[in-house]
Amino acid sequence: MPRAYLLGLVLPALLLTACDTIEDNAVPTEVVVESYQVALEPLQPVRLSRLADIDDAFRFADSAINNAEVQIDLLAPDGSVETTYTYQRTSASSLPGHYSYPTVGRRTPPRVLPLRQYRLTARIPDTGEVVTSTTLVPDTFRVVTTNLDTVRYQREPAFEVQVTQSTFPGRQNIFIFTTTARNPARDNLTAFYAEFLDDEADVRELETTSSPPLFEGNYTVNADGTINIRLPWLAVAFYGTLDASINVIDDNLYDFIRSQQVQQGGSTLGPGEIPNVLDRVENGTGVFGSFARITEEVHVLRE
Amino acid sequence: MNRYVLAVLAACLVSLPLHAQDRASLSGFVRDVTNGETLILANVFVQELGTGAATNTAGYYTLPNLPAGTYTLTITYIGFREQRMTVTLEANETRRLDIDLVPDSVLIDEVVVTAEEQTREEVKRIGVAQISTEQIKQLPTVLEPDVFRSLQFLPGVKAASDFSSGLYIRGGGPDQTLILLDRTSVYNPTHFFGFFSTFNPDAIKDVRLYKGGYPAAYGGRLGSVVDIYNKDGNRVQRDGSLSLGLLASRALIEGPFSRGSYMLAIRRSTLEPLLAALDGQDGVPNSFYFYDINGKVNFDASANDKLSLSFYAGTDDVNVEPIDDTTFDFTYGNRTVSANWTHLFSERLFSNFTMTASRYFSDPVGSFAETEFERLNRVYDTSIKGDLEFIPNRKHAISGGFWVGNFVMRLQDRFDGQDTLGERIRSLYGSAYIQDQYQPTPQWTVTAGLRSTFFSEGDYFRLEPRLSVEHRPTEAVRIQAGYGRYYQFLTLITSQVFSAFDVWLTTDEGVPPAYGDQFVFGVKTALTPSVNVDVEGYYRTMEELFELDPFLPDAAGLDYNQLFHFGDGFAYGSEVLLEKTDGRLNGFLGYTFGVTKRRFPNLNDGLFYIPKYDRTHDLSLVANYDLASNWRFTAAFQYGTGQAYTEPEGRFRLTDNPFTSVSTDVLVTSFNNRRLPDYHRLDVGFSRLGRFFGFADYELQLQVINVYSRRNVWFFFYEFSDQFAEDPLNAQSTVEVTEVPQIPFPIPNISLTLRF
Repeated sequence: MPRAYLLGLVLPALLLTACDTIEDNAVPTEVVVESYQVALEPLQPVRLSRLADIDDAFRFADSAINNAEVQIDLLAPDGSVETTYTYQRTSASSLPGHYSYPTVGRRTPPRVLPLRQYRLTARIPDTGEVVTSTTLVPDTFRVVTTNLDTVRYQREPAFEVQVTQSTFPGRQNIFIFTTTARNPARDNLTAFYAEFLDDEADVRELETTSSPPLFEGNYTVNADGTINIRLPWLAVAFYGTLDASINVIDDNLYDFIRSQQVQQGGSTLGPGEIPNVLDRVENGTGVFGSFARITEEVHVLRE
Repeated sequence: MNRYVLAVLAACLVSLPLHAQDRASLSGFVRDVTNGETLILANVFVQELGTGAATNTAGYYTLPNLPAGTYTLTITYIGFREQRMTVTLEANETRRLDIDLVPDSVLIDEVVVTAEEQTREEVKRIGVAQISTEQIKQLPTVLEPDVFRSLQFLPGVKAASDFSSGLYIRGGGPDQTLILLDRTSVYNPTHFFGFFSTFNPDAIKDVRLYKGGYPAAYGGRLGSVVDIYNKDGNRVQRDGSLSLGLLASRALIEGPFSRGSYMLAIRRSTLEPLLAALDGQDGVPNSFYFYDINGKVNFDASANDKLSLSFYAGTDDVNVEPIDDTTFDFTYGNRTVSANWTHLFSERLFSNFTMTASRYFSDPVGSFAETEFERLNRVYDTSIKGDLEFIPNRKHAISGGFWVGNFVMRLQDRFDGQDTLGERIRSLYGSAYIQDQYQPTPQWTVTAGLRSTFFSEGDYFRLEPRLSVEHRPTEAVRIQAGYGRYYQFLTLITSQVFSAFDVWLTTDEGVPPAYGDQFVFGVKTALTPSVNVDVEGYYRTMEELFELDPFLPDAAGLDYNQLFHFGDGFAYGSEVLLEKTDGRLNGFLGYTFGVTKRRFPNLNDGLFYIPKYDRTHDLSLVANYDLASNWRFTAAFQYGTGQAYTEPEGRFRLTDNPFTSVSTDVLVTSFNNRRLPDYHRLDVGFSRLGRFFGFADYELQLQVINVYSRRNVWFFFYEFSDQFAEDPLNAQSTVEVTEVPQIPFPIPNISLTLRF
């Protein structure tokens, strides 16, 4: 009797084991856009390429899209197009997939306006694909003062900048701190970064380094509305003269950068679980982002 | 709820016998004769009436409303010799009958003659699994015997990897399992970066796992409950043990005193000599230790009043400098204390009241180039709980209780000397339950319960109905089905790699509790007195799951609800357990078919995906064979479908990124679209018992993990070549795949235990 009951339940249980549950979705050969607009700076170029198969050796020039029609629209607050900037394929053959706004014959190239929306549109004639992405440019900000122009590595006081507040509608500001070394020599590497760099690696890999996106909530806002930002020693890869930049980024860059970093691990996802990047590109992928920045020079002496 | 209570009371009144005053009753504790430890869920069966009762968590049973007469009682408990006794009850007699059972192991040299083969009556509730502490100690282990590692052999229970003792039960993550030690919640009970759990098997009396459909007496988690009870301490004689292992050593002392007993178990790592020998080598910690202490004192204030005080303290501390100018300093651990009062109002009304306090702390600090990162997490949970069991007659067993407490969670981030996040959530919580186990005939048992839960932070009040039905068409067959609604007010942030970073977060305004329904059904059979086959199926939903947003790079200045992403999921599966409990060859074979999926808006385009710990097929075999009276061989084999992982299908490269000197390479793929190669591993062990120079019993264990060097893959790591090039537009780049294995080679283990 027990065996009959057992059989009655075991059989359905085994039938459940029919097949695995993995669903495999093919990756389309999407268009990849890349462009970074900077508040109050001239319109920046756009680069177009396509996704490549993971198993193939990759060369950007082979993936570049060289025959697209590219334009950037400045949008009015109601979403209508206020001005259209038609880009052209950059003529230099050393710049595959590169499109820029022609400045020849113009006295003052158009500058990217803060707190305005820009929309990128790229049409691919061969396939009829139309790729779009829109960015809202963060407000500009400025340096009020710096405490020092020369600091000694890992000694107080550290380099500190007092800046006015930028604004970004609907959320707090998100910063990225970037340092660019004027003399990126191996002898100038700080100990922490020297450990990371292989002997065969080119030291220029570390010429420009950046923090992950950091929220304004990390910093105390002064009574006058300014913010004091201290340069973390982690951001210093080289002794010597550095260009230290503070960048306030838009949503597109924020999503792209934070998700691209997760692809290399370190998040709450399990090891081996890799998500796609969060892009804000319609019918394609990549990033069409914008940011505002200030840059200060600082000299870092050895300990 | 009121209507339900009235219905239960009405049912009780209707079924009360008209001449209850003529009836007798039998009640008492069931204990281990060798040490006086009470036995949980032992069965006391009245042969003539075809009915019985199980002991509760205090080891107490009640058989009310027995007609006057002479009865044959059969008392059974796994690992103990069945005991039969005859009892004659007079009308109106209230008999207190404490019963002592003899462990099987005590009879090992005796010839046991059984007059007839009879099915052993065991308490087998739906969704419940049990593993004995003896089995836990016998299973081959990496370095230390471990409760959770042993549970991972049971059907429906999976591990994330060889390196994790976390319990993934029926498609749920580790935070979906409530872990109780002497009725006290324990948070992040791991040692050695999560490699094994903190529960010292020397100190443990009983481990019971409610895999699903758990009763109304428990709550607060979507999935399951691990209910662990420490030993009370030997009430017969003072004894002790000392165990020397490769990683840690353990000591236990227990014994009786006037009207009571005590137990103290200490375990500490013994890695210092190894660390000293490896001093100066890359990645070797400057210091590392862990310890745990379990203690319990019992005092019988009267025949009807038992008091106990138990505590646990465990800490892991590691300091390591993996590279120059970089240090990691991790300290994490738990403290719990509980005071318990068991009181018998009458033979029919049993009560238990407990005051508990639990503290979890985690202080990981990393310093990179003198830039410090710190994430401090604290959980303080203090509570009072009471449970009452009322047995009005043989058809009803009514239980009810409450659990009220104060929960405080603190999360503080510091970056470069500045506080960047400071969350402190204090919430009062309370829950109450009532349950009636109704047995209209010996063949049918219906258990209906209702639990209500309140969490003050966010003003969440929830009702959780529970229902289970058992039908016994024959003595050897139980057909069971159950349903329950469950709520969870906590979530665990874990890296699945290293438990020192584990952080607990709670619901709050804008972060509602997760909830889910569970449907469970099963058949449990006894093919022979010592061979059981259990089959269970389950389906469960998971709604409003809240987990830390994996894409969140920083939390400063965010509203609390912005820390999370919200999703849902489901799981279903079936489990088969073939178990042989007695004989020279014993053990179990378990098989699980399981599916679990999750859905979060920012992962896999918002479609359902398979989490890493999903395993379609899972097979485990645990076998013990007594080679001789003092030699035992143990083998444990596991097979599982490879875990899901993401194999990228496409890539692209950004060459103009203004925030870096190197190209930005991006993978494109659907999420968790492939499976790793199947997992399998065989562990074996030998143990020898004997006398140690005439002053102690010894047990020598020799074990080998991963006997045949199976190189199970943990995950693949993808790296791009040539991210920096003079001419990034024309440089060739490939994606290099690195296979990261789990334990890839045989690991021997040796331990010596002396028992005084």
